[in-house]
Formats: sequence, structure tokens, C-alpha cells
Amino acid sequence: MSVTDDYLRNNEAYAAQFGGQLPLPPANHVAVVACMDARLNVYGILGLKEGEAHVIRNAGGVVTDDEIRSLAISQRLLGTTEIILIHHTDCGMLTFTDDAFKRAIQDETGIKPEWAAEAFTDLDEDVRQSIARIKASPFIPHKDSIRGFVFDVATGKLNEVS
Amino acid sequence: MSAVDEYVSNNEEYALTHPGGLPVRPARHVAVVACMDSRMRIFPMLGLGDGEAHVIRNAGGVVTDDVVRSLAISQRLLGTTEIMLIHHTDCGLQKTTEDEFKGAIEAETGIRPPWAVEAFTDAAQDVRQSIGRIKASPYIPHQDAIRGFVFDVDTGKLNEVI
Repeated sequence: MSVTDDYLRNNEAYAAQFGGQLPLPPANHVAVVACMDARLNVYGILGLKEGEAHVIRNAGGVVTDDEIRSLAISQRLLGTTEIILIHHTDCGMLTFTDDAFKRAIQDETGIKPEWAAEAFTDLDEDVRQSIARIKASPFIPHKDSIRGFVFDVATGKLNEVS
Repeated sequence: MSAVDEYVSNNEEYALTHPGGLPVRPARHVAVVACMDSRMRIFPMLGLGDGEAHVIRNAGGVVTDDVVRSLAISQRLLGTTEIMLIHHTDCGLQKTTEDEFKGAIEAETGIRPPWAVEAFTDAAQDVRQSIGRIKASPYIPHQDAIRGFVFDVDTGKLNEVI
């Protein structure tokens, strides 16, 4: 039995006590942008309940064109106005370089990815970089309330980046 | 008090019981790709434990270059081999079109986004489209265990797309 099958069985129990009937626009008007890391249970970390906030996640929690697309849809179609960015300690993105990662793929497949891997060396700096990318985008209307954090995977604490 | 202040204060309580010391590699070798929708709390929905699976999310849960980037890092650097895709009923991306959304942004800002909005009309069909894009990518080595689902926001159930 695959892990996916296990998760499907868990979902049956979840559905049995599911509330349902919540509206599409997030009730707290918040969008969270976080790393995909397996130790980031965003609901637990922030005490997020169903229907409160969009949760956008990718490798690193970095702001790429796809985050801009998602945030533009979140704010323009679904009424969010606040943004929370979450990077974290012990991130996989701190362990390689764009050049080495793309070289390894090219050596194996013969094709070099046309996208940036978005590796970084300093967490705080990359959170500030992500905030700056959002602020530079003409497609995101609400930029007054953007806050960035580094989640400590050892302690479970969010530390704000100033 | 803004929603974000409330979440930051929730985090203090979370940190008291946070399970630290988990490794960066997902223990169950799974990557979940899902929509950012606020009604999909992925951890309880799948019974995900801390440290088990990567969670990648964007508007629609569609496979873009950024999702391919995240999956390539997930599989090549962090050892995942299974992929679960999750779209859902009542999705915001079913309520607009490429031209309508981009036209509205152009009318307001004077600039037309260079990216696709990735609007769709049929959730199951878009899950198949997303699986097709993963299978067409030369950068994702493990393509044997990819399954797609539509989450029903009224019942809490995952329905598999065949």
C-alpha cells in the first residue's frame, strides 16, 4: 500500500467530521507564502482555521512569477490584503547552488532547466528579497501589510525579519 | 489587532509543543501539489504528520514552471518519489478567464501580465492536464506514482481523478 493510500484513508475520517459550507474568499483576508518544507505545518504554526487564509508554498518560499500570479488572484479576485512570508532554518535551499543543481540535471538529462533554482545563502536576506519582489510588482495592489518571518524548525518559533 | 498579529501570538503557544529535531528530508517521500484555497487545510485533510511530506501550493494547484522547479528539488535533492495533486470544487480559477483577468489588470495598471492566469473550467480535466505536464517534464525523475484528486469543499472528501 502506498503512502497516498494511507492519506486517503485518513481523509475518510477527516470528511466524517468536516464542517463545510465556507465561502471562497478567505475570511481573514490574508495570504501566506511559505516554503514547502515537510516540517512547516502552517495551520499549526499560525493557528490557522478553515477558510481564513490562502496558503501558497514552493521550494524556499521564494517569490517567483507563479507567486505573483497566485497573489494577484488572491488579492484581486478573492479580497486578501495582508501577506505573511515564511522561510525557515535548515532549509534545503541553503545546501546547493543554482549552477551546481542545473549542471547536475544537464549532465543527467542533457537539458538545462530554463528556470532559476532560487538557491540562497542567507535566510533573512532572502526574506527581504522576496518582500522586495512583491513590492516591485505592478500586479499586486495591496502592499502596505507585508511581513516576513524565519521559522525555527528546532523551536517552532517564528522570528520576524526587519 | 491585525490577523497577522493574532497569528504571531498563536505561534507562541504552538512553539511550546512543537516537535523539533526532524530531518529536512520528508520521511514518507511524498510531495503534495494543491490549490492555495483557504478551505483546504492539507495537514488534517490528509492526516499529515510533521516532517512527512512536501506541500507545494499555488492558485489552482496547477503545474507551472515553479511547481516543476519545486518538484525537481523535492525529488532530486530531498528524496521524494510519490506525487499527490489536489484541485477542489468551487475554485476561484473557474470563475474567470485568461483574457478577463489580464484585461482587468491591463486596464488598471497599463501593464498586461506576461504570465498565464491558468484559469480552467473543469477541475478533473485540469488535474489530468497537471499530471500531463509533470509527465512531460525532463526534470522530474520519478513519474510512476502520480495520483490526482478533486477535494469537495462541501463534504471534505477527496475524489480521485481517473
